[in-house]
Amino acid sequence: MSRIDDLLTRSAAEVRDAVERMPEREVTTVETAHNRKTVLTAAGAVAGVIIVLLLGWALFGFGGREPDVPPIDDPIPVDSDAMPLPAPPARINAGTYVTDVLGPAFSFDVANYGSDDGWFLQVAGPGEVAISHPLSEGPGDRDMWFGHPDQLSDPEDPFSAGWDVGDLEGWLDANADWVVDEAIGTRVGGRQATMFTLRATNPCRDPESPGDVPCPVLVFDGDDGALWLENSVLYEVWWIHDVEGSPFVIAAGAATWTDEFRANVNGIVATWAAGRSDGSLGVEASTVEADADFRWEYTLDSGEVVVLAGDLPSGFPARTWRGQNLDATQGVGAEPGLHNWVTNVEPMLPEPAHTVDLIIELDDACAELHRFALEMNPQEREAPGNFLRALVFTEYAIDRAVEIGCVVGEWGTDGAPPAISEPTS
Amino acid sequence: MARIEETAAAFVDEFDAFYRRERRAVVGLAYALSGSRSAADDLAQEAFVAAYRRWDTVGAYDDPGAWVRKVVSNNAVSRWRRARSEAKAVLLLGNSRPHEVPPISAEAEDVWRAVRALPNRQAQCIALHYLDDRSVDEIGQILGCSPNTVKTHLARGRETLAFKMEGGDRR
Repeated sequence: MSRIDDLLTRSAAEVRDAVERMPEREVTTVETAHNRKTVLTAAGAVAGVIIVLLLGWALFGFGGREPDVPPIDDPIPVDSDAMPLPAPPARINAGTYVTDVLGPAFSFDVANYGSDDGWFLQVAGPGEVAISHPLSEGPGDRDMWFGHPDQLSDPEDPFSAGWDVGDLEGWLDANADWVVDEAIGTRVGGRQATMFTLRATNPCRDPESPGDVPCPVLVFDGDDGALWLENSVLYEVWWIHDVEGSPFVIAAGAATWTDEFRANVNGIVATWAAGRSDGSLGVEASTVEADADFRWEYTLDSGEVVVLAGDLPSGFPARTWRGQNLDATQGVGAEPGLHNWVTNVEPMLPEPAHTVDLIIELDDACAELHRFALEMNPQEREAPGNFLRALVFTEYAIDRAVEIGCVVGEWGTDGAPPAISEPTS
Repeated sequence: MARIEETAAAFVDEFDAFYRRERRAVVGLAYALSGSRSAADDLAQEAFVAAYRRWDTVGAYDDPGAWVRKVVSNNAVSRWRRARSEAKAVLLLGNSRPHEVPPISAEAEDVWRAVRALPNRQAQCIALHYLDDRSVDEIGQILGCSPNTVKTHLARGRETLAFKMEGGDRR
């Protein structure tokens, strides 16, 4: 053996010996089908602590832990120093938040993303908490949703409730074509959970479908909340099995998952914890305020993206896109040049969220629907295969016009859409 | 949920056994190639997490450990990844001591520093051969090159090390 061979052999032996003296490492994981993120929970200072890889459910027989580390099979309590979640709509910057608006108290950390724009707490029903990532570009895109549902959707009619929340496995089997990654066991907040990813195959808000086409739903919380599965959005779902008697669901969705979004989502899931509520964590009624003249306006930018004009904070996304329904509460002004005015913001007190009625003043609405039915059509028809889509838009505009009391003319013999105008009297 | 639970349990058992079996060797490899006592464990951990994510595939390989070694070999010689792992280790200091590789002798430190100064492939071949007792064929499989290429890297690496450590002739 040459001297360098000998040196390398001895040096390698030293490294092996050193590594043998290292303490074991205790880890837990937050699992997603795409990124099972490992989070250190304890740095064992005592050599010989048995490795505990907490990967799923079957992890409890592997032994040693640091004495002050809570047993992993016990629910992790909510963070007692967390800030109450503010009333939506609101920016939530880096910090730990807690709320019990869904029943059980739950807390989670929102990390600092190196930007002044924090997550955005959306206006949502009383049965849901929804936050948007700073880079979200609209409903479903880089959103996270928290719910404490009582029903899964009916696989035969995914727009309605109709499946026992206790039978997730059966529901996944029945919706196999939605499932992108099979369910795996995991833990969230120290509780048993199942993680899976899905993408709904049923189109929603599809211009080729007449009328108001809803999105299919994953879960419902009575009439108060539902997780709508937006078109083309891939959802990662953490189904935490028993939180005060019902599942607790965390869902994160994005049309395209970026590393940043994934890291942010995993950070939130990793810090989620729940416990019994003492009823003190609801949003204070006084924090929900709305100006009676509250209004904002969407305009079209050069990239065919409808952007919020002005700087009013609102429960609506600052950006939306073409194709949204006129009366969708989270995506107004979806057509080029179409402006919507929003009034009648009515807090639903003492509920922790409020609804917004969308009202387009009648004469404006009729004029816009006229443009929508006529002027938009040539644009729509220009694109290959868009004739049907244009026709549906026209029919939709006519239906809406009739519904709100506009005067609707006759279809032309050449197929030209009817004129829509405001009532004369 | 019984079926999912059973599948998850089997998955965990298998991966856990793999992790227990391979972890120290992989940490050693990470340390030798990164030179960072604090980042080595994280680099190994990342490689295991990557294996876990793909365990359906990786677990079916004849030698899943080879796959992990490939990941850690590549990551440990990446300056960016090493820096990131070191930064994570520093951040952990606020809460608890990171898992550092205990110190080794100054002479061994010098040897591994010289190994890390070699071209990446040579350093990887040296580390896998001496630290992990991998054969030329196995190293070739891990690094995705032919046994002859491995032999060449080993020979050139040793030659360079001899020159540096002993002031010898490179010939």
